[in-house]
Amino acid sequence: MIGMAEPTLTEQLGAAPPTGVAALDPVHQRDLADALRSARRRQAAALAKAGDDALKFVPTLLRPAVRKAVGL
Amino acid sequence: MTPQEAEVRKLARVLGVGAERLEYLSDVPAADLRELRERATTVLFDAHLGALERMAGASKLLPTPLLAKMAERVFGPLLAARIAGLVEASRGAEIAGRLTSAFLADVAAELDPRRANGVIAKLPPPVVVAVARELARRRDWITVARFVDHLPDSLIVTSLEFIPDAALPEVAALLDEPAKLAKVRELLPAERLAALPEQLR
Repeated sequence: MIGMAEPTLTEQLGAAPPTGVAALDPVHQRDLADALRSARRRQAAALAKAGDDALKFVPTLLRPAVRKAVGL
Repeated sequence: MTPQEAEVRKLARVLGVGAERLEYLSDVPAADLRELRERATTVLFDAHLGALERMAGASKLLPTPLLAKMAERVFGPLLAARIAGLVEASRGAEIAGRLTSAFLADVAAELDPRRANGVIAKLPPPVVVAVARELARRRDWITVARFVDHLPDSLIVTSLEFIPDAALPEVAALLDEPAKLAKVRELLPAERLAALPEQLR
């Protein structure tokens, strides 16, 4: 969304980072925040793709039960 | 390898970036880097936990041969590693027994052994041997060290057989638990111990 700031390292970790990391140049703290956010996004993308693809492997008769268990 | 260098390499692995990108961390105390890595690991493993738990729950409805096929073709190593700690240990080990050693080595690289120790403890020894051999072939000493930190002694002995003497100092530097270094010394055959650099003996 335009104008929405990306989450900081503190926001992603849920609390201030360890002292030696908090003392880093803000540019480097932002780089760590970017790397963590990218890792989360890769994981979310893998999960979304797996959710779409997995049902194709499930035998037709079991699909309703699997859909319900997964919450689809 | 300094403790900081070892921590930077391990953090880079968790974040999925090259260690060279994190060079600016070289002066941060190793204890702070370790805390950052552990907290980043928690963030990643807890993200999407609800969806992963529902997937693990749904897997109870399916036969293990089908789940093994789905793990390799649909989930991939990243999600398989996230789900491994959420399925019942015996079933997880049964599925692992049907996976290729190359795929399991990929999963091992993404796994947090603390969260999957139930499954790891129940893996059939031939599976552990195959994965240890594959990780050694790849020279993935970060993953090897992570497992030495968490494996029972019998499986450490098995894994050590595949680590060449020349790589032992690197594996030792990458261990999280200093106590495990003493354990590795204890478990190494005398002739291999004698071949180690003096500071590791």
